[in-house]
Amino acid sequence: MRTITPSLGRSVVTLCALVAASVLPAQQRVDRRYALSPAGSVRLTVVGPRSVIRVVGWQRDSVAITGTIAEGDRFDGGVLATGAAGKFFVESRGEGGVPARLELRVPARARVWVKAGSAEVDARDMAGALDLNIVAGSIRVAGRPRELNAEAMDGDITVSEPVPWLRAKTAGGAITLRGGGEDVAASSVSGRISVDEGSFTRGRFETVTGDIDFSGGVDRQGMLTFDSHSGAVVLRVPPSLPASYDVTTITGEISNELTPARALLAAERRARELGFTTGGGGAEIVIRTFKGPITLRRQ
Amino acid sequence: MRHLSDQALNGYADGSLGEAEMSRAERHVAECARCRGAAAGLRGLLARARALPLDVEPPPELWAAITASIASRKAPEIESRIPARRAVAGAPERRGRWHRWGGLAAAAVLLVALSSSITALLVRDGAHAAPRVSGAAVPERGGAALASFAATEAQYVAVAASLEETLAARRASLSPETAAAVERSVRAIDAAIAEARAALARDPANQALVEMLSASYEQKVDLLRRGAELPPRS
Repeated sequence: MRTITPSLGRSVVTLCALVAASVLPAQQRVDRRYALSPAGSVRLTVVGPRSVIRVVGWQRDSVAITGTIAEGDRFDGGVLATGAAGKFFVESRGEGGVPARLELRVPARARVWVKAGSAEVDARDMAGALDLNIVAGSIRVAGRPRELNAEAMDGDITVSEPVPWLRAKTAGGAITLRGGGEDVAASSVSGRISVDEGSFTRGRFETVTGDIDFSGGVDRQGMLTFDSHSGAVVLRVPPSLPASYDVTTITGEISNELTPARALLAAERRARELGFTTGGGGAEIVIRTFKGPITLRRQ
Repeated sequence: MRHLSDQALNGYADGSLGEAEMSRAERHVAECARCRGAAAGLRGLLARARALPLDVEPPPELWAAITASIASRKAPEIESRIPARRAVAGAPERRGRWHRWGGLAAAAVLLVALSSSITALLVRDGAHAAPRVSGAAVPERGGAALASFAATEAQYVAVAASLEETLAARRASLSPETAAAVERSVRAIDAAIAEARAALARDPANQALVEMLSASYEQKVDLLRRGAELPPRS
C-alpha cells in the first residue's frame, strides 16, 4: 500500500490552495458606518442576480453596512447630514456566481427598506418597521418589529415571532407565521400559508391554489378570514374558543370536528354552508373556498 | 323574524350602539344567520378600512409617471420637431421607462376608479345581500349579484389588461425564471377566475361567488402590479 509522506501532503495542500485562489473571483469589501437617528430610516437596494442580506437591529445610534461584493460590482450610498435617513445601493453583475453578502446594522427602532432580486434576507432584533421585498429566495424575520411588510414573488417568507402589523405576500412561495399579531394579512397564489401558533385580533389569509393551515387563536372581539379558490383550508382551534363560524364552499367539502353541526346544501344556491357558535360567541371566523376542502379541527 | 335595520347593523358592527340596543342586536344576531352574515361582512369592511394607512404619501415616481403619462400625449408632436433626439444613445431605454411608468400611471388611475366601484358595491350590497350570508333561506334578487358586479368586473379587466401590457413590455428585462414564475401565477389565477365566472353564470344570484371572483381579480391585479414594478434583471 502506498503511503503519503508529510512533504507530499504539504505540496498537495499548497497546490489545492493555489488552485482555489485562482478560481475564486476577486471580491471587494464593504465597510461603511454613519451616525443615524434612533428612529431614522435606511433603504438598501440590491440590483443583481443573487444576494445574501442580513438586517440586524442594535442599540446604537448608527448604521453600519459591511460585507463583500464581487470585484466590479458597484456600491454606493450614505446618510443624510441630519442623520435622519440613509440609502445604499448595490449593483451586482453576479460574475463568477459570487453573491453580494451584506450585513446592515441599524438602530433597533429604525425603519428599514430592502429591495432585492434573488436574495436570502434575514432580519432579526428589529423593533421598528421592516419593508422587505424580493423576487426569489427567502425572507426570514426573527424579533418583534412593530410593522412588517414582506413581499416575495417566488420566495418563502418565515416570521417566527409576533408582529403587531404584518403583511406577507408571495406568488409561489410559502408563508409561515408563528406568534400571531394584531392586524395580520398573508396572501399567496400557489404557496402554502401555515400559521403555527399565536393569537390574532384581525387575521386575513388568502390563496388561489395554495393550502392554508391555521393553528392558533383569535381575540374575543377579533376576526379571522380565510379565502382560497382550490387550496385546502385546515383550521385548528380550541373547541371552546368564543367565536362564531361562517363557512362556505361552492363545490368543496366541509368537515367539522369542533361541534356536531354539519354543513347544509343551501336551498337556493349551489353552495355548502355551515354556521355555528362556540364558547358563547365573540370573534368572527369566516372561511370561504370555491372547491378547496375545509376542515375544522380541535386544537 | 324582523331583521336588523341598516342603521342597527352598522351600529352593531362598529360597536356604536347603546347598551340596550346592542343587547337586542346581539340576541338577534345570535339567532339570525342572515344578519350575522351581514354584520360579519360589515366588520370585514371596517377591518379593511382600518388597515388602510392613515396618510398615503404617493411615491415620487408616481408624480413622474403622471407627468409622463400627460406628456406622452404630446410626444409625437415634440418628436416630430426634434427628430434628432431619436438618435441619442439611451433614448429607446428612456422611452421604455416612460412607457412603463405611463402604463402604471394609467393602471393607477383605473385602480382608483375600481376601488370606488368596489366600495360602492360593498356598501350597497354589503348589508343584506352580501358577503358572509349563512343559512339556506336567503332571498337574493335573481341575477342581481352578477348584474351589479358586471361594471366592476369590466374595470378589473381594464386594469389587468393595462398592467399586462406594461409587464409584457418589461418581460425582456426580467430573468426567464422570474417571468415564468409571474406567468405561472397569472395562469393559476386566470383558471380560478374562469371557474368562478362559469359558476356565477350558472348561479347569478350567488353573492359568495361574486366575492370569490372579486378576490381572484384583486389577486391578479396585485400580482401584475408587483410584476410590473420588478427591478430590471431580477
